[in-house]
Amino acid sequence: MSLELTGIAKTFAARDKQPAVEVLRDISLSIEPGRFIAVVGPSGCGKTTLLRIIAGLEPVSRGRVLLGGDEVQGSPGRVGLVFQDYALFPWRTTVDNIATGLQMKGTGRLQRRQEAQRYVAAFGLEGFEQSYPHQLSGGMQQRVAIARAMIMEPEVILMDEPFGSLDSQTRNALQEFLLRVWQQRQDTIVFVTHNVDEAVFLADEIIILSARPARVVQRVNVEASRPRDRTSAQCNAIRRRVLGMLQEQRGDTAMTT
Amino acid sequence: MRWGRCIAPLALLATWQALSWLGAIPAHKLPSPLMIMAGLVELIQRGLPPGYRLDYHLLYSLYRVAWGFLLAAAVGVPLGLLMGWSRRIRGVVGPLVEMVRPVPPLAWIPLAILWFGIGVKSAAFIIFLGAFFPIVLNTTSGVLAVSPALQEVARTLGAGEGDVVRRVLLPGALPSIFVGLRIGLGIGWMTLVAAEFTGVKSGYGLGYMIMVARDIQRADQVLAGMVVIGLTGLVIDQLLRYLGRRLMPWQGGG
Repeated sequence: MSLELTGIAKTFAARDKQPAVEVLRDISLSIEPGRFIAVVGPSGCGKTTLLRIIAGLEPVSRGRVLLGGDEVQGSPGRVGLVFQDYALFPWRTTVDNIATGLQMKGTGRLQRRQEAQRYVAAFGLEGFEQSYPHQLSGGMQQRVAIARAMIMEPEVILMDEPFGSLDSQTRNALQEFLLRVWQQRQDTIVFVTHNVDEAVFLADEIIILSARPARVVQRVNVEASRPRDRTSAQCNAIRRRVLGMLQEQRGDTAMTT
Repeated sequence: MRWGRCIAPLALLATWQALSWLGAIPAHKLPSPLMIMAGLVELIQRGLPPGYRLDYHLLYSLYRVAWGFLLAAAVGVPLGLLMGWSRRIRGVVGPLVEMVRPVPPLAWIPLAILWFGIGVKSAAFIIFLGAFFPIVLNTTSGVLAVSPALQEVARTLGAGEGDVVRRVLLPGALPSIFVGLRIGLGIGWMTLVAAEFTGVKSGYGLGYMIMVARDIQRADQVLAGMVVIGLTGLVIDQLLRYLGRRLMPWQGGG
């Protein structure tokens, strides 16, 4: 089921002597199922706001978000969220964190344990089933968070700089891991990052947003075949193109401020 | 290492005892540690007034504290959860709490006696007032400290409002709730003695027992009563901490 954004605009109302802030201006996107989409843009441009709108956590000022033809707001379980800081429940073990959504749905204890156990195995978390998040490394915590989102079989998985706080070794490993999982499952993923290398390595398509208020500047298809070589000429060329467009956007802000 | 912690108190007791033997501390003002021990033994064996034994005094006091404290927890924790959960409830109830909170619980004693008479009810009421506020305030601030991201993740995973309160806000606030319970119980236990000074006419209660000892000029038994109160408070606090560790295995430690 495809994700359709039509004419999304978002302005945060003025309050406490702070002027109103226009964050998003007329964003329209159509995302086909099974696609891996990366969203990049100058920092502070509203990428996170866009994700929160798609997740139904933030109301739009104008426009519509349709998921398989339905309004997304108030349709829990159809969108999965993965945050940079993992946002695991500190009081739940690995298995219980992964099974959270099944519990909300009312799945029986035994069945959700079994289901979660499948993810434990597939995500390399064996031996840590009964660990609490603070006992896991950052990379493991993020795998738990991804499993927790994926176990619900959401129609879209939204990731907000999920690997942003990991060291580069772990980050590379998790990127490859995510690609393997995604290629098996064919999830639709919208992946916000400020890291162009990451976007080029992971995505089918890169959406470049302008500085605030964010508009879609360009959609770049990453045509490099998979598995990709991070340093191939093709990847480098795409990276150069995307970086160039981002630089232009930064230039715009520099001139207007 | 653990025994190292005992050095300072033991040294203090030894010095105190030595000064008492030398006559530097008059026994009728401050009895020596050994005299206090003897007074304690007498409280256990004979009781004060004679026949009213220490274990009964202790049990009655615990009974009053248990009533006041459990009532405070039963009202305070849910109210604190609601106040943390809803800005509107916080806006309505918050000012009320802030108005009543600065009044010392003991200032309520006359009204408590007027309303509930002299007995377990008025003592429990005073203890309730002492324990209630730290429990409410710590629960509320614990809920407010739960990361909004956790609530959002829960919602996208299909949690309704009830699930958010029960499965996110409550466990998220639990460490803070336990701090509130410990402070509340501590204050309740402190308030007890004063409540029993005036709220108990005869019979049992550590506070009442201490008042009797004062009336007959037995400083050793006053002090023995204080020791019992202190040790009991310590034991109760340790029990709560143990309970907290059992209920929150994710807390602390590597």
